[in-house]
Amino acid sequence: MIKQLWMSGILAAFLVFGIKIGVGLGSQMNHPAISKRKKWAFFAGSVLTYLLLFLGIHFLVTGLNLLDYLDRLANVLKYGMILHFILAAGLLAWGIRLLIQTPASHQHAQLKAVLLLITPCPVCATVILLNLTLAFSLFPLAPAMTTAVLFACFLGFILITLLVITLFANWIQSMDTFLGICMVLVSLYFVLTILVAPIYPEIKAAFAMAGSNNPIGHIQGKPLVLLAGTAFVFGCVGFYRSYFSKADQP
Amino acid sequence: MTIFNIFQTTLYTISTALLVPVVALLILLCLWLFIYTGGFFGEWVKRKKMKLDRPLSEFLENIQKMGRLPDNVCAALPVHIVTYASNLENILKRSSCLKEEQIEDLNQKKENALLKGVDRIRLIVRIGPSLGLMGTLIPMGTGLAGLAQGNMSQLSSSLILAFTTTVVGIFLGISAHFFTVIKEQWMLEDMRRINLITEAMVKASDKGGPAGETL
Repeated sequence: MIKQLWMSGILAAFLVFGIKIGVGLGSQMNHPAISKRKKWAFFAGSVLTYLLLFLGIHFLVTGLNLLDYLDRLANVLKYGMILHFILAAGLLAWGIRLLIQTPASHQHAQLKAVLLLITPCPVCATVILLNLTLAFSLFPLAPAMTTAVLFACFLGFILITLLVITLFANWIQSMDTFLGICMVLVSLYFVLTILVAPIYPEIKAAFAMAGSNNPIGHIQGKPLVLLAGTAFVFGCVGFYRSYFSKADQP
Repeated sequence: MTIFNIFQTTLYTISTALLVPVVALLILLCLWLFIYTGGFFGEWVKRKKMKLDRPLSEFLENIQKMGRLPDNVCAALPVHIVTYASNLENILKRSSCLKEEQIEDLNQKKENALLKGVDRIRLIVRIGPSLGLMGTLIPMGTGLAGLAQGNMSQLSSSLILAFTTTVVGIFLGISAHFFTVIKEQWMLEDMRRINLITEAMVKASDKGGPAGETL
């Protein structure tokens, strides 16, 4: 199932949006100027918003025959791209603003900037809609279960990003600067997807041609997973010994 | 059978006998490097978390007055430096005419211990690629011997082994070199801190501060 999810591009799409939302939440959750209660309320609100979005799209997909509305959906997608571009431009402008403002003005939280980063834009919603439709046709699971699995994956990506940002919070000198950098990067990625999307079919053909003879395809999965697992376990052993050791070792 | 043939056979036997230990060592070194990598990141996270809000040099007067490390400094320094400082404090409390020599001995022991920690990984920088090269050349010999007999499958399997051992050896070398560079930076930083702490605590003792009260 994971392989199918990856091959169909569902995981890749959710990964990008998961990281985007995780960065927004991470900068808010680790901001020293925000109270704990506000942080958790913001986190719960965001997760709930996306849960409702998933549920809404689930009922939309299961309750309607989307093929009957394909023309309208295409129109929505067309306008969605414009909105997507506006969102990318907004992210870029706000990100640059955060980067060039003086450190003195970094004391207050940039809630508007964070909201811009975690707001489900029309393209995000469309991606979820298309992914859910694709997943229903791919997996033998019940539709409700499929939606739950996909939401769990999506939430997983958000939480992993949040965890990584929390772990490196001490390393990040200014959350606002970090947020600014992330916003600029996300906006550049969005602009890139807008530019690349129209030539996607050509890219697909080129990719298939390049992929037919690449050495990566000859890598066997099981030994690689075994090696990665071994490296991870041994690495964890080393990390545990070093991080939690109270010994007098340089 | 000429004498040279005997030499050649002997060398070939030694060389092929070394293949298994070389491959086994490469695998063991890889596993060790995984553990070391985890340990390295553990230490890195620890060092990132433990940061003094000001440079250590700004705490020197405080250290000199107290004759020991203040608690806030202790919390922001690696455990081994704190242990060193407490050992130094014990030496300074003793009434011995060879105090200076004991301090010098403690300082040099610490320096050696720090160097030893870096040398362990520095060793892999050389050993890894060397084993990789050995693992390349040994199967080449057996592969060429197979080619002479028209055994193409032996040649191909030997070549696969030859290339893979090279890659693993170089991977070990590159990773170890990266860790060595960072570890050396940490070691120099720790050594600088140790010397600063030593200077401050010894001066406190000379002035008859808390550490030298028992004198």
